[in-house]
Amino acid sequence: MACARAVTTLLGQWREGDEGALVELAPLVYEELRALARRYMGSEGAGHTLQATGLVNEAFIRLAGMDVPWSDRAHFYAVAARSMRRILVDHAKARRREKRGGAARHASLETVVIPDAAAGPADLLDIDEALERLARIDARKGEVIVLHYFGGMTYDEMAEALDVSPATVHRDLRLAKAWILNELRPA
Amino acid sequence: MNSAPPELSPDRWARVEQLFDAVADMPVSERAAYLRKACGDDGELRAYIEALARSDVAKNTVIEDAIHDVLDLASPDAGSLTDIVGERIGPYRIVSIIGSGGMGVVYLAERADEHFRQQVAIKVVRQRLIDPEIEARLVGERQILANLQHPNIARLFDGGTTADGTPYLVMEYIDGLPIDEYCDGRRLTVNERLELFRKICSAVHYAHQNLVVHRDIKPTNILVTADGTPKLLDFGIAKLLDAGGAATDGLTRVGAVMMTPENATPEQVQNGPITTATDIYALGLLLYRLLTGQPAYRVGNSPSAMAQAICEHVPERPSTAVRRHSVEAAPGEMKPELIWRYRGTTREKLSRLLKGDLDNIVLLALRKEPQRRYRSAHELSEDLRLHLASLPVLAQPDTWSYRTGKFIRRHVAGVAMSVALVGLLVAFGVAMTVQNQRIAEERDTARQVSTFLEEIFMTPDPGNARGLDISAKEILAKGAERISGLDSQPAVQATLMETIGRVYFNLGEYEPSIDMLEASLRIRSNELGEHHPLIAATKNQLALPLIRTADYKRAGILLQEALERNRSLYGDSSTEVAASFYNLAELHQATGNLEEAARLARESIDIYAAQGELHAAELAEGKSALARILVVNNELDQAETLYREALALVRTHLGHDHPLNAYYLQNLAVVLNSKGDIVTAEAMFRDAIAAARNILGDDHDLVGSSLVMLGTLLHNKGEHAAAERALREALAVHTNARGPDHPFVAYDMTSLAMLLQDEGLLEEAESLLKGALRIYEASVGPDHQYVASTLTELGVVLTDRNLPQDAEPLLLRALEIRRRDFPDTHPLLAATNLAYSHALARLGRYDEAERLLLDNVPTLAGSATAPDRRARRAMQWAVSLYEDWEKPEEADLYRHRIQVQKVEPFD
Repeated sequence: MACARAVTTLLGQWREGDEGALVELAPLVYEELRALARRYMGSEGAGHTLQATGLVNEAFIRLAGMDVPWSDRAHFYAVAARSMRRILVDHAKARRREKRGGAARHASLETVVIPDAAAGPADLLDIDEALERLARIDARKGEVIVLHYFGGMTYDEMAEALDVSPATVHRDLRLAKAWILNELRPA
Repeated sequence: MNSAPPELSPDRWARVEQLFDAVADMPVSERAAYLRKACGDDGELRAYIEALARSDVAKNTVIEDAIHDVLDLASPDAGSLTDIVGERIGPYRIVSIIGSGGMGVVYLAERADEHFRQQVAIKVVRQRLIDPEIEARLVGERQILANLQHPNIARLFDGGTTADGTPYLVMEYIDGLPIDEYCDGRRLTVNERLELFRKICSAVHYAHQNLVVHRDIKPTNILVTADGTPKLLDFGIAKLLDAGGAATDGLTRVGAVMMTPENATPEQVQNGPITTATDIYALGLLLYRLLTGQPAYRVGNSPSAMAQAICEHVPERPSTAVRRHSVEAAPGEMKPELIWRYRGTTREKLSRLLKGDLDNIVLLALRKEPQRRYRSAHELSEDLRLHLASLPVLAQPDTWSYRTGKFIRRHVAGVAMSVALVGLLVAFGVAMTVQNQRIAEERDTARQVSTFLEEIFMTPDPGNARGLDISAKEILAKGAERISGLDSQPAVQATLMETIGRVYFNLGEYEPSIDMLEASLRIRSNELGEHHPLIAATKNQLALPLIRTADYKRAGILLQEALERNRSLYGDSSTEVAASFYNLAELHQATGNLEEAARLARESIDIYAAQGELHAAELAEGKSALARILVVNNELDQAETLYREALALVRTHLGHDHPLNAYYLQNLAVVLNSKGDIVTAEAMFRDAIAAARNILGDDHDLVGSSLVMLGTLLHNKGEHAAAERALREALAVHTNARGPDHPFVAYDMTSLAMLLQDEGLLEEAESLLKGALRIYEASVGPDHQYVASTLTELGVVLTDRNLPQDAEPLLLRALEIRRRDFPDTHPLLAATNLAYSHALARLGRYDEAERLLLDNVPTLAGSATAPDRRARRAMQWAVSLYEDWEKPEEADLYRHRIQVQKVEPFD
């Protein structure tokens, strides 16, 4: 509860324009998400996929509770989405390392061991790299991808967090997604 | 790698963006021509836009898939898994891997011994137990789970820790398919699915009877073997495993085990307690899926929408869900046409099969509020049986009276009950649910309390000759008596005492309520220590009857203690703290500190308002409490708004037939009446009466009180015939509800007598007033203002019957009572003075009469709260005074004033 208060306060301060609050908030969110991810990853059976957005939501409820102004909630999700991206990319990197350097033997509470993925059509790390390139060309479009896919945010929420209209978000997302898919397509 | 131009300058990117937006929604056939024109000879740009447009495929889920891919495949790598195949865990030899998940790995193993071979599943938990205390507790829990023996529950045989401290569980090995796959694979019809589902219910019910909650019922946890036997896996395992986790402070951890949108329950989303009702909800979700092939909630991808959907939206009716043409298929979801084909029917037939009973049954299991779902898995199963047998089912569209009726039918069949008993039973029902929620920590208490209550209700006292109209109080007294015999089980005793204390309070029996709650508090303090959460709750409860009996000091101390405790236990914005605020507001209102009372009421409203639907009732009550306070302060507009809001909350969240509807309607009518909006007030009173009759029954207090207020309103309006009907009805209702000696009855008698006095029916008026006087003197005491009101009216009647000498001592007594409590300017004192003036005039003491008249008519006429009727009556007395006195000019003056219906204060 003490934690919930801290997070709601920080969100409020951030909304009031205190960028320092964000500096304090981000690690809190990141740690909570990472702990949740560690606990839940893979614990659901086939056909009931765990969603990144579910984790973000649970982190939100745990950290901030339900009685948070809507606009603050959107900002929280934005922070969480970025954290989620980092966590997942870190996992994917660990997975790639293991692939190369031989598997870690024991799974303990502290490390989540990611097994070889079935060779999928796209690798999260490739997407991440494309996303980096996109952000250099157009930062907001990169952001929209992160918020939507890693944070599960709606158009309205993204519009609130990015301070643009939902229609703009819609256009941004459409182009950004097409851009990334185009990048991923083999030449 | 792709057709991106090497340099994307900001200008060029802006152009890309513009062109992409332009062609995005354009038919492909027009696109090429447009781009040729727009790009001119920049072939590179044109090719790039074309490539982007080709990539603009809404259904492409590459990014989502990559994310899921990382999240999903987090099982331990194959190397470490296969390593232990062939090794032994305890007496078991590992044969192969069955599966793995976040919590661990499941192996197929054999118990190899000379005499028999047994296959088992071993779940090796992927975490270490460090705390020996937690481990010891787990052993205890595990034993309870191991004792579960039911044909549809996979047994837990054994458990322990390996040499390196990794915990494991040994379970019955089930070779089968998840229930949803099994049903679809075998093309089971709806009825076959229901039969299968009922077996699951029986397993869940059996576990609940043994006070074990599953906590994680879902299709993958229910395997159906080749011979069609469903087996529920992992009973209570979620909790067992969770208890070892770092985030847990004990065995009764509340909150979410998993937050996958599909399986989350409202109480999980809101961090509420996990109870048997959580399993009922999960069964509802399962049934929804088995019947419709779809999840109950389409929560989509937005996390904020998810919590809201689960906590606020009522799921679509199954019959509607299967009928919709375009199912927006989420990833991994079934194509719509397969849904009905898998059930051996067509879409329309499937929808018809589900419509009605099955819709109602599923939605009853999926109610947001745990206490409003089926009370047991057995009850759910029974309802399905009734449906299969084409008999009427219990589940009905969500209405309050229906549920009350059902509860009574089940618990006291054959006992005809007084209305008070109905209220009592509802209160007990709530109390039993509360017990249910503490199931893990108070296993024995919960069981014994419910048995105890059932016994009290199911067996009317054979020694009671009136067996059929056994009263609520008799039942309570019997219960209280029996509790004293439970000395050896203090926890049970304290819980029962609290419950009965609460019911006594609801019945308005404050002294026994205080006795019971004090005893409960004493026992709990001894047993649990001063700091246990239950102590704060009991203190909060005890304060209420103390307030009603004017023991404000003690109530204040208890409430402060409870508030501080709740603050530190649950935080400043918890509902527990809100409850303390609410009670403190009552206390301050009772002691006349209205400002503080209003402040506290507002605090409690704010907290409840932030809690969403689950606390709609408390929020409404908070608003109503604030409205009551504002009424005392004469802030009627705000009070009206609050009552209307409270009413809207109740209607939206609790239904139109919830009892609070009737209460708020009446209160709203009273406020409107005070505001002088007589027309709306009258309509509102009629609504309140109709609602109270529907919801609470014809003989409820509330029906009577609304009737008497309506009668008085009509009397003031001059509609005497209608007023008389309402007042006589009120009298009958209160007599039935409360017996002939209750102050409510006396109030009705007095109100009716005033009307009859106006009508000239003095004899009946006199006898009613004398009856009322007797009742008041015996109940509220001889010095109460009610006594003064009745004495005043009796004085008037006696005066009009030409017995002013009999009236005088009564009126003097009334004045004495009035003067003690009221200043000279109070309208009620003025009214009694005027009645006395009237008697004096008849006694021929004109000077005295005139002085009183002149002193008091301005007060009455200037009062906003006194009805015109009283002032008019006083004018008539003035006319007759001056006529008797032979002063016709003054008499004419008052006649004139009556005619213009305007009462000016004297100069």
